[in-house]
Amino acid sequence: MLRRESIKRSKGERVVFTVAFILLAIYACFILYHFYFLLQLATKGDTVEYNNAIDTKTLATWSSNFTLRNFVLAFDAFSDDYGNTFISMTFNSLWFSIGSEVIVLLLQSAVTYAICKYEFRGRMLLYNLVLVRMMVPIVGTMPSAYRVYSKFGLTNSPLILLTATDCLGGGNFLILYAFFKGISWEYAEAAFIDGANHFDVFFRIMLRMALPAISVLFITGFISRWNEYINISLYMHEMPTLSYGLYVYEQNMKYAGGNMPAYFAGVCIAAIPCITLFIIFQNSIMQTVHLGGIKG
Amino acid sequence: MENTNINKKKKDMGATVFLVTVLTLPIIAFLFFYVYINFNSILMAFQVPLYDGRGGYKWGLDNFAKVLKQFTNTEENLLVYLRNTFLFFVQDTFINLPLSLIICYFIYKKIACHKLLRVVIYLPIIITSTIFATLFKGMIEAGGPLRAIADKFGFSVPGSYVFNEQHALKTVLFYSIYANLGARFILFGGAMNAIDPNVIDAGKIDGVGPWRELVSIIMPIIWPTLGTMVLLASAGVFTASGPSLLFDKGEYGSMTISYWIYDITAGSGSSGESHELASAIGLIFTILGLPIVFIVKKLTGITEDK
Repeated sequence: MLRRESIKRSKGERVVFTVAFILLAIYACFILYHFYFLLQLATKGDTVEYNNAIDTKTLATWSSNFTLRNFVLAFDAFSDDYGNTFISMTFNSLWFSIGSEVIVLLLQSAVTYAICKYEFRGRMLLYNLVLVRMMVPIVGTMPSAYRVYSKFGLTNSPLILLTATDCLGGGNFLILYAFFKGISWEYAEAAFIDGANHFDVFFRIMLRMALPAISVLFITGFISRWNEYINISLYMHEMPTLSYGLYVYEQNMKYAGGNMPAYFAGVCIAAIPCITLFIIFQNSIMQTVHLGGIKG
Repeated sequence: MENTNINKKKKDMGATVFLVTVLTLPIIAFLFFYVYINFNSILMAFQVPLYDGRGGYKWGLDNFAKVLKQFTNTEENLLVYLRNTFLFFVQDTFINLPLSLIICYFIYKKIACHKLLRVVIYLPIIITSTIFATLFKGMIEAGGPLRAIADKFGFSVPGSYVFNEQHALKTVLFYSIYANLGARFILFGGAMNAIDPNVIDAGKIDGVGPWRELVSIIMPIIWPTLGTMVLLASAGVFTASGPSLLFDKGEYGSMTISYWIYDITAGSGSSGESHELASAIGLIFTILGLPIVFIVKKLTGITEDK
């Protein structure tokens, strides 16, 4: 059998790939420069020096009073009108991101598995509901959602996690559906012969087999929730996550002043969890997920 | 054989208990968080607040009349918001989606340093927009490196790219392209990695170049993914928006329909712009968006895989 490695690129291809590499490398350098710039901002001596650097257009230089103290100060410097600190915002980010994803993935995998593997009345209705929901371009339900959430006490409360139970929809459904469809029912048959019930089959066999896909969805979902700010600004502004908290702090500093270098140090710290998760799991993330529920 | 076995299990009481257990909560949640909220949104579109201090309202078509008036009056902002929404839709669907596909192709083909490039290009997606946008603004606004370079080489730059009616929309559009090139990496990457390498090799033997390989071999194979993404993008034709909140908050020309609705919901809309009016706007654009989705569904040939 012909192996891929044995096929060399032609001269024309090499030119195309070299040009593409140069363009992508330039783009990557621009992106990395943001983080270099961030470190320059986070290690400025103090706010006075930071403001002077704006006036002298030297923000993008290393400080003569270089300090790492801002990374410690970041934990105390942040606070908002509701008494939230950097630590409490981090805690909010953790329970919101982990809680939402655990709930949504547990329910979504069970529902998707049921729709994929069981014949029951209403199965196609549920399946089509999910697809229609994804395709129908509903605009402007935000005011209604805001009123309903407020009325039922879901805002500014851990009860916001209840919204994660609404799992009949979204791209995850298609990904999980494709995954469960690829798992043979014979595993379940074998387990039934050994005396397993339907819950055993789901939790002990199917869920374990789908674990690679579920783990990837958990990581990408976690990153997405950790970075969420629009919905947090509406429904959780009194107990903000780090992402929205940093935004509020930055906005407040424009009017009330504040420790800018400590803010940027906080920004560095806030970015660490998502970057670490992605670097560790990048291969799994890029290779495990296949969108296959709707096909041409 | 498999279906027969599954059908046998259907009759099983255990299967019924399992199905009831796993489906009850999601169906209740769907009815509450989707059906009820949407139904309530439709009702709100027909309500006109009386501002009588008691939260009263009357029923009518006033909200729709107000929206139609804004459509026909060129001095009103709605047409500008609509134009901006369309620009963000074009940016995402016709610029970012193809660029993301092309970049993903080169990474799939293991371009030099592909692993490093994959991580770096995906970085703006991993970290929160509130951080990345702040850094981007820091680079182009007062005191930032762009200003320092402009000074050094003697070219002039505007006082602000963000708080400036001439530049705010362009800046947000540029940022949306710049920061989102890696946004579809996971799905494109997953789809490309699932392609049988022998298919690619067969094309190579026939002397297929990179462009033809992408267009004639890879795109048809990953069409279920690509077509679904195009279809879902078309569903966002009236909800497309940029991160205006992180830039000019829509005050200098980057306002879109969906950001405007957010602005009203968050309580920062101008007087006379009620939640009910926003709901009416949403209902109108939902109805306008439906045929577009069905046309795109037809054009992409995407059908349900049952």
